[in-house]
Amino acid sequence: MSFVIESIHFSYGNTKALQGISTYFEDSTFYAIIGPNGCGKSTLLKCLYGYQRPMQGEIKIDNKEIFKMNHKKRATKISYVAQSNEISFDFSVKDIVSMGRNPYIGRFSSLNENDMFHINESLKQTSMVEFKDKSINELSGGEKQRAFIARALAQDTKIILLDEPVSMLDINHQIEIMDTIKTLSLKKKRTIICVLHDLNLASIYADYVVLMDNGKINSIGTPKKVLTKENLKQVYNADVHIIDNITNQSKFIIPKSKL
Amino acid sequence: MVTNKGNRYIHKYILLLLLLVLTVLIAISLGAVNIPLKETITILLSKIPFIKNIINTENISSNSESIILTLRLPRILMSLLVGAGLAMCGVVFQGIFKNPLADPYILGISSGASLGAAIAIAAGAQAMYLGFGMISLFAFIGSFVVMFLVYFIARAGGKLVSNTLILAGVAISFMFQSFISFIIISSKEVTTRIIFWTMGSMTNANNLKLLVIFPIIVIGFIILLSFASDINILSAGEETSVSLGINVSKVKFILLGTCSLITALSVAFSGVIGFVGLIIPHAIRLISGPNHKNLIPLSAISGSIFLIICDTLSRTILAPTEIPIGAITAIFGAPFFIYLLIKSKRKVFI
Repeated sequence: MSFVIESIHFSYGNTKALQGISTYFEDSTFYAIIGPNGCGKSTLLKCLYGYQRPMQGEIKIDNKEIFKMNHKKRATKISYVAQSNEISFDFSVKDIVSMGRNPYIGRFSSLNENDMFHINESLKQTSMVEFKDKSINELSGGEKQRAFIARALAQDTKIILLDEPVSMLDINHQIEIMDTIKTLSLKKKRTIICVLHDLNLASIYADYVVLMDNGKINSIGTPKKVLTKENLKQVYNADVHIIDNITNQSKFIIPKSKL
Repeated sequence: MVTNKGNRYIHKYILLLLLLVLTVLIAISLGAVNIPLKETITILLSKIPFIKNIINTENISSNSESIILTLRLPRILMSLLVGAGLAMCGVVFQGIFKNPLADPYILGISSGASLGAAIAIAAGAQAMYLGFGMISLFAFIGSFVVMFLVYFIARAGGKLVSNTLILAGVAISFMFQSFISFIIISSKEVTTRIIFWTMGSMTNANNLKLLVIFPIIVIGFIILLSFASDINILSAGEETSVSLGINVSKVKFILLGTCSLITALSVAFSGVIGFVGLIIPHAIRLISGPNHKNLIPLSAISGSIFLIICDTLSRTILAPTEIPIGAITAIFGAPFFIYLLIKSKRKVFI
């Protein structure tokens, strides 16, 4: 599957959020999108799954522009886990995960055996089987996030987008969620595009890092290539130490205090 | 393991439908003139094709038949349809606006209807047009004026934003309410009639009105039910809904349009009846959970039962004087809802 974006521009009123972004995403690869607040990371993600329509440029899956696909067809190609997931009603985990099958269900039909298979598999892969009958609003932050990842998994798309999936979780739950996401890329051959604020998580888990600055891509490549002192100083205006993480050969970034 | 088992709510449907039939029968037999239940059933059965041939109608008085068929049945059927319509629209409005205070009148439709009715009453319009009273006709036109104004204002930014819709509805409501106040002040002799109209009544129900509202409620019900999954997903927010394949603007437009039409007709034919569209959805959510596939039909049946009971009380408590139905819905509905709220462990809204 080819996933290509060509010179996309997006503005909120007069504020330019994306300024001519072009790149492509390889199959079964984990991409981390990083960059300072307001650099356009979340806007890029929203354009990628069709929530925001770029003013210029094209987003193509297998050479087909995503905005020319109908909504359901597009939702069989790309799934998305939002940054905040507030559900107004007391739905069970099972209900939430079942929503992932919406793109495959007709208006007057209900879940079939194939849908049930995907729902059960998604619950298993995210270790949520024991929580399936619990209300989504009774779960902890980590469990909740796993339920939403299970929903994206039930959607059975080759591409999964996640917007800061671990930003509000403790370190244990962060690792748990990131391991789950990495497993999807390694074993289930999904393309993961994940907005992250934590540079060390990006360094540990991502195959490629997309460093964004001011609505543009500053650099893209392996974590070792992108996460350099010079790049981070230029984009974040922050001084860092970078050392080798002896446990997995990744780079470890330590911020330098300005005091 | 999650399995696709049959509808676990089947017993709730059966129970509520039986309760609805029983409520209709009792409501028909009660009134200023009490008609025994057996006679009521005989009269009703005698009007059903094929069955009427095997019914013995010798002991039926023509007086009872006339009371049932011309006075009580139209208003009871109107209560059934309006109750169902308001309750299911309440469910949908609460679902798409993610707002526990949302009800069918949240977009200001009732204020438009009330202003239309107030103008007709103040002008002394008595004429009938195609069998409809001018008050109903003016109320319906008023509802439509508000609907278009609210949608026009809310679509100004390109998207149908929920909060803008609600705020536009509130603003238009306040403006129209002040127009009604002007009318009341300037022609005091019609004050009571206007106030009574705004508190709702089934007195003016007739067969023609039933023929108009019946297909709208039935088609509306089918449309809303077919969008139940979309409403479930909309509760997760618009971003998530788009990612799950929902065309949010189109779905909202269809749902709001359908509900607005149902509400406009209901108000035009029976006045402003509060509480049904607000509390019935919450009460049913407490009993059956948040899934709109069951919430919409169960609320519709319960709304019918509730409004038929309220209408019966409104015409029997102080018979032959009639109490406005809007007063009854709140007096008897609020304590019941508070009881459910205390007893239930389930949360209505998060």
